[in-house]
Amino acid sequence: MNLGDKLAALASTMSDAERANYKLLLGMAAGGLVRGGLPPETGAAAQAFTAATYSISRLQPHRDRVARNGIIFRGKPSFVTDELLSALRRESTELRSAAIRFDDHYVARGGPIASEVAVSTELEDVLSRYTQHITPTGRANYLYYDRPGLGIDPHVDNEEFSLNVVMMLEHVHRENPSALVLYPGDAPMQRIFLSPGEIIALYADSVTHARERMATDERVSIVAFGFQPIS
Amino acid sequence: MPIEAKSTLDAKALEASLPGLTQKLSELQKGLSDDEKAVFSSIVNSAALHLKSLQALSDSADIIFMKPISAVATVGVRQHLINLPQTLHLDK
Repeated sequence: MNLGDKLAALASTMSDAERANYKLLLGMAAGGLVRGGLPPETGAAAQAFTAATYSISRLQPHRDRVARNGIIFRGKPSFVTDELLSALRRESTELRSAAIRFDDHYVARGGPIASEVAVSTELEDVLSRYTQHITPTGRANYLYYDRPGLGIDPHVDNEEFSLNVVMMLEHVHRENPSALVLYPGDAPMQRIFLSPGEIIALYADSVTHARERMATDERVSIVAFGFQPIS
Repeated sequence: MPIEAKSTLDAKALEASLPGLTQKLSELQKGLSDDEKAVFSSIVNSAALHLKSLQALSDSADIIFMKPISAVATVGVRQHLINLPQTLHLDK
């Protein structure tokens, strides 16, 4: 058994609270080991990053649902009409002034439109084609990366966003746009570029992920919807 | 019967679980080879350093929402994890 497996196996002896702190420890380790968006390539640091991201992917009771590449679903569902996308963008813009800075990005709790999508049967129906039983947590957040340097280091999400469904609202950039980066733990890292209205769903409590830093004249706004697995 | 989502863990429960987590990590460490210990040490130290860098950003906050949407930790949780290398005798 390698270290990643040993770290993952330890989680099976833990309470929910212990596992949450353990996940935080491993997630912070992964975030701290990345430099300029790239994991270390050699030495103990490289092995530590691999062991941390791999064990994160195996911590949760729903670990067998986590796709090897980290992605449960990616695409633009038919319910995401131009009208809905415009309404979400409008609500996002309206709530920007109420957004709170969390270290390196801004977050605002979703308004009525995002909240309605978060618990909609349309969204749940799409997801249920690609993963087992889930339930919406009812949480919807708008996230804003609208200044140079904003982004999020590698991290994992809490249980309100165990299954995190991210919809791109707007991505303005010149050249070389920033990416959503996944570090699945058991597969190579992936840089993901979403188009407006496109959705990606991942078990974000199990897949280490990051948003690359904004360049000059670049901005990204997204909305995230939270789901939890149920047995 | 409707199936309900799990409730969010509260800060008190997270803090109360820290001694148990530390004990389990300590036990794990005892069974590791020297090479594995070096990697484990890198994990624990990296987490502590990363947390410390975040702590510097918001020293005055009672509760820090770290990174994501997402992981929440009290000052107590943060400090415990920052001290973990020392607690586990992995400080460099």
